[in-house]
Amino acid sequence: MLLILLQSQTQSYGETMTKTNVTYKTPAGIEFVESFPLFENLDVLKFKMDNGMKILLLQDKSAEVFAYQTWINAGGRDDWGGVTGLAHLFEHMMFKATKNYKDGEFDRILEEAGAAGTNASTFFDWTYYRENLPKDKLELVMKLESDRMVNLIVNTEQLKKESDVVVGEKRWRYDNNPQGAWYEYLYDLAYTVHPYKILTIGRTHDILNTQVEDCLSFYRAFYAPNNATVVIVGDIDIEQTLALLKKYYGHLKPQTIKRKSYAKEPPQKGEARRKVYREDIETEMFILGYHIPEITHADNQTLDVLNTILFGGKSSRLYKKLVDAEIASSAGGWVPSLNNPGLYEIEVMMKDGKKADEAEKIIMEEFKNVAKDGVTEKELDKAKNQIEAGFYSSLETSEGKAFLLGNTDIEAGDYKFIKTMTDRYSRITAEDIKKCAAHYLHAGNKNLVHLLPAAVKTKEKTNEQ
Amino acid sequence: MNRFDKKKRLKTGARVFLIAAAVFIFSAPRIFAQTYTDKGGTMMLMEDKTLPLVYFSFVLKTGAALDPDGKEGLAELAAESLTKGTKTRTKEQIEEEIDLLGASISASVTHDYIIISGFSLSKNLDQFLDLYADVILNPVFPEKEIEKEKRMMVSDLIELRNDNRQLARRFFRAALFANHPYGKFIDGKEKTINALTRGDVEQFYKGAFVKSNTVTAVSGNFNADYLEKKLNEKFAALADGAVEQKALPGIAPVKGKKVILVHKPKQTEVQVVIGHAGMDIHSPDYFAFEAADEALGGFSFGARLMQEIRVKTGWSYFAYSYLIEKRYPDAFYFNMAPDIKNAVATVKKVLEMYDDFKKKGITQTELDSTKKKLIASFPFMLDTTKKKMGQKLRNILLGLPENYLDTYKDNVGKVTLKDVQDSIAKYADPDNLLIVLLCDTENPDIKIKDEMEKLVEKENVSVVEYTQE
Repeated sequence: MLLILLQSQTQSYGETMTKTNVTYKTPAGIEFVESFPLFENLDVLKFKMDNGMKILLLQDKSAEVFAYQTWINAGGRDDWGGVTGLAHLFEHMMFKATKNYKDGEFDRILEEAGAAGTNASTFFDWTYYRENLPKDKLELVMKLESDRMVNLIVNTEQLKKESDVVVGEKRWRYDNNPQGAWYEYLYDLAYTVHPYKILTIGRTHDILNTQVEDCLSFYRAFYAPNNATVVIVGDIDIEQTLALLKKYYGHLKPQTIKRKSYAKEPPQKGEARRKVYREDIETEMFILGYHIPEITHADNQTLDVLNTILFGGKSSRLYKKLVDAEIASSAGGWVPSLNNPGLYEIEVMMKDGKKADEAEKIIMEEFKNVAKDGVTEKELDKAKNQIEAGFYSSLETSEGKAFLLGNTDIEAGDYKFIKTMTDRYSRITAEDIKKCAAHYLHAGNKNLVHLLPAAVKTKEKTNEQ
Repeated sequence: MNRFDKKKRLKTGARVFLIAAAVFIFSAPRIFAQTYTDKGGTMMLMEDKTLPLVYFSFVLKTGAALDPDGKEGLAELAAESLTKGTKTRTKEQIEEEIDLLGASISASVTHDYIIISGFSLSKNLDQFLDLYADVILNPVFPEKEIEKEKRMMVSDLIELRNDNRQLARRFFRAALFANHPYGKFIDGKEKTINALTRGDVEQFYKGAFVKSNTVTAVSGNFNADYLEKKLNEKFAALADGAVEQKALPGIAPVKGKKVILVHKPKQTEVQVVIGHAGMDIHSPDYFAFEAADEALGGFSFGARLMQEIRVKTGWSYFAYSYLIEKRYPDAFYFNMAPDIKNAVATVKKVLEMYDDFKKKGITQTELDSTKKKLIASFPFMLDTTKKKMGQKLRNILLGLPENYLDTYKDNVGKVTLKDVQDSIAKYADPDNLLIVLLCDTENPDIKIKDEMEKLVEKENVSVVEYTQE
């Protein structure tokens, strides 16, 4: 099949493109779906294999390297059988032996081929595997990646050791790290039924008691070509890449994807709070979470702009009122881009001797201000410039581009949503922001976890007595 | 989360020295060894029209190693205070302008140099350059803002104590580099920060911000002729002068094995840092020892430490060795984080492995594999224009030869097993080690102090509180 590609000429942030013609040959069993202009001279080509595997290719010859990412549409929210942390633990197991490669060979072969950043990540909605390699190693990585997609061997001894490793990771990132632990507390507090309630790392007990069969059933349920998107960005030849994809993935069979339905989180009925006393902290700190819509909802982008107005840069409202005013030593917010409704998180570390109540009051006051009076056009321009700069920064490396494509494809269901987002950002008005603040940032939708030094509890008890 | 931690490389500029010569020549930057006047200063410009972004690095070849005794944190305070007000702009105006442009200006201080980084959308280049130059050339250091910044630095130190890994390394460095300029905390200590004055900051600024002490590196989407002209115009106002570059003394060696237990309550992990003084990266032995370091504790699942401490035992999520690269010899150390139940076994294992490493070196297979990895992964340190510029900057700042990148592959390729074994014999020192464990020393089930006293002489084990400076 001949693919006629329309190649991009010019594009700016939030604008449309003009094109010229280029042709490519696609092998049998691979269908061209569309081309999409990510940015100037950066056209994404989407293909689909007969077995359902999605392919996103972006040719970028600015360096003689490429990024190779395999995105599996399964993450922490898909943990099942009561085994929390399964998706993530299984990600660790994916680097072990297969029917064709002994344990350790995957890493050794890629490293000796010059791979940089060979790793994987698991989040609520996805798991992705990544390598960056010199341009002549495309066939090598495809051979390895296609092999482990279907030929992995999971044995008890390795699973036991890797469970210990994951528990070690949890200890480091969460248990012994108050700024990791607070996410566990927050999501547990804010969600009642949706699987986002439990962080992707899982619970220690479950990690240590995961069985081989748990891993294998997860593997069979989700690791299939029709549940995967392969994203390749860099110095690649399109036709050659397609031919290799056909060679290594073409024979893989689609599977029935056994996805459970995700319980819909009911609307929150009032503010939720939790206090945690820790002996390993010296100052108070807190994290807030507000339920907000998923990435595809326009309010998600509006809230992102609002967050930038509140916390983006040192001239932002809450930086000035909290950090510059020396009430907090740091403060920031994050609007998640998730497939299901997530939490708008705000994190505040108090200065020594300052109480969290003071900062909380300031934040609540600011939310009321925005809901009542909105934001200025200048603040809006500022935020949009910052977001635009951030977008371009994300396109700097092949790896960055690949991540943007793969992540958007899973979270939004379509990588082209990148364009929808950039268009939306450019059109957001002050009035949109005012409405969103009123709708989402109120007490009934509020979750707060407050961490205090244990000495404060002792003092509180003494005062009560 | 990731399968493993990607923060291994503390080497200045990371593994950035490998390059395919063809790539380097193909995208040769426009480099100027330019003077602002006849009095020194270097400017490097590298065009890249791919994205509408411009990256600036204004670098001073002076760092925290020169902070006066009792005034650690001075370089950091001075660098952070540039944006607190200029002759024509208040702090608020500067911050407002940065954010409105979608830009950023930030300072990064090391022991050897300071980088004032700037980032802008190319459509705002002129405005940004005006602001960036103003901040660098005309700061006024308002007293009120200096005092506030000092308080913020003290707050940051308290916040740092939540990060066990950074905290353990801090204690390690304090002990290893006692009385050495590299032992000065870049971010200071509460006492030394409080001792700093506006006068100190001004004096630092006047001494360091002179043409001959600077390198300006810009990469991104701009016209090089135009920008060269603008930069010359702007930075002609930089003062003339010279900065005396004094060589740093050697590091006093550790004698025997010394253990410092840093007590932090209720920790279920133990941050383990074990090491001694490192080597001079300008030494002809460097490539050989770097290969040895990679085989022992490199960022690879095939490296010995990861194999023993993670893969085979599951004791720690990460286990690496670090050969820190600075202008002068810094440290060589191991870092891992086992749970408290396996901490003593981990320490014993690392000591045993390091002993074996010293006695037997590495194998030919390990060397061949390491060389392949280092050479083959070279393109990644130069796969963006920003990284290429970063490498050129790094070479200047670390005093590496101009052809360092061009010859790196050959230099790695030439390393023989004998070279590696000789370098290990010379630089590895398993008998004289500083061992820092950040842990809960009051854990009722694991008496870690008692256990460590069995490992080394009792008088060589000390306990300090994690809040101690």
